[in-house]
Amino acid sequence: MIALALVMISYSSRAQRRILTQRMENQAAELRHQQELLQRNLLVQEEERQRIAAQLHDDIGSKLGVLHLAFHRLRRADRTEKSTEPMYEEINTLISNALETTRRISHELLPPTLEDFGLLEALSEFFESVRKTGAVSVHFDHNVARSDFPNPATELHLFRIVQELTSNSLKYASAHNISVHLTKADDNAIQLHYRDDGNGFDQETMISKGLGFRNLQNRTKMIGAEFQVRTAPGQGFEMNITLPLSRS
Amino acid sequence: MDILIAIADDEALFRRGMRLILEDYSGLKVIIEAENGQHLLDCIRASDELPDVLLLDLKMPLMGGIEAAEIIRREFPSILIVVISSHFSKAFIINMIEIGASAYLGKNTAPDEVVETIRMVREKGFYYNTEVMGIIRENIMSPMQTRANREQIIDITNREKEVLQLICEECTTQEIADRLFISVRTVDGHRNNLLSKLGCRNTAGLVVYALQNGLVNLK
Repeated sequence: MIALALVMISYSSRAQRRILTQRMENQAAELRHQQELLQRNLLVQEEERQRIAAQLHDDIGSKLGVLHLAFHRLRRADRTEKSTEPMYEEINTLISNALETTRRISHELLPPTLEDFGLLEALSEFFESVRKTGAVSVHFDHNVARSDFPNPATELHLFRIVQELTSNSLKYASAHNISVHLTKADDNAIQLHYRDDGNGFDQETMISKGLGFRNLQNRTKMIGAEFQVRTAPGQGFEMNITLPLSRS
Repeated sequence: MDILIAIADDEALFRRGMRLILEDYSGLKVIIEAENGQHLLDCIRASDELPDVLLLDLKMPLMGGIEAAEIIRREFPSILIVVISSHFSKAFIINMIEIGASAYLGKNTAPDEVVETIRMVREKGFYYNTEVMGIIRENIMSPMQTRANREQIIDITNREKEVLQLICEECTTQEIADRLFISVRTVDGHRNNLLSKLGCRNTAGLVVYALQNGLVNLK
């Protein structure tokens, strides 16, 4: 009897363990799948942004440029007629604004500086525009060169990470100071150190709830980097990203 | 004599519109229209007469404006480059000016200002509007500068410094000669000395060098 009971207990506990292991494996697979989906999403999103930025610039922007010239020709031909002048001025302002808006949206989607001059110049320009809002003071320094970054995709992801962090500092944390250091301590890694003096937050809620944070996590993973975050309510926010460089 | 102009832009309607506008003003003649950098180089090389001024877009297929400008500075140093681009940001402007562009305009610049820029560039070698001037000055001591060699001791005479100051104030050679009571030929001599001493390739380069190294005071 006892022996039978023992066998049954051991059997059922083994079965339970098996079910548990199975469940854990499923969960892990589920998590991996989710992560892959998110990373895939990020890539698709980048492609979309690139496409829209290019179309805005090449199609709408250049057509507006043509319209701008045609308008000025018309205005010149009609320059003796004084009564139409206010209308010309109005149209001129409209075309100029439309050109400027197209340029701005296309640049926000994908800064041309990033493509042509790399991450360091793009960050300088980005922080310059953040400073101009007057909401926050930004300190940015670096001791790296453009050639230190392995590829444009890495530069793009690092740029997006800093953009996301900055927007968090401004939107949620009401920070007054942001400091960003990009350093190369040795030949093996580049360190991105981001810090603000804002409200900070509870790390648990951030990790479980924020999609922004999951995007950050995925972007760092996609470029093969690791990161640590230090924050607590009232303590500001700090993030350290380490990008290992393969020596070739 | 007409100012001869080349236009490089990948948008055919933009080239046509610009041509029609420019030729409506007296003294301007468009002799080359190119749809990308390579096409532009081919046209210039095949042309009987060189353009005086080139209106250059930056983003073009096959070969963009940045690369084309570098080649033109080497092969045809007499052509004055006026960039007309929708990329109106610091990195682009500084880079083009370091390559040797004589002016940098946004795509939404009114034709009157384009024409004014062409004439000023032809007359004075460069024409940087307030925005561009501001960016050059902001860039003083920035790490972007590759050309300026800070170690080099700047050994120029007081007279050369006076000439440099007046060049930066957008004076023509004649005006400089009048202001300093010297001949036009002497002014040219000083300008050539400055070019070789400071390692610049044209007047635009002199202005950038002078501003970035604090050799002149501008109000």
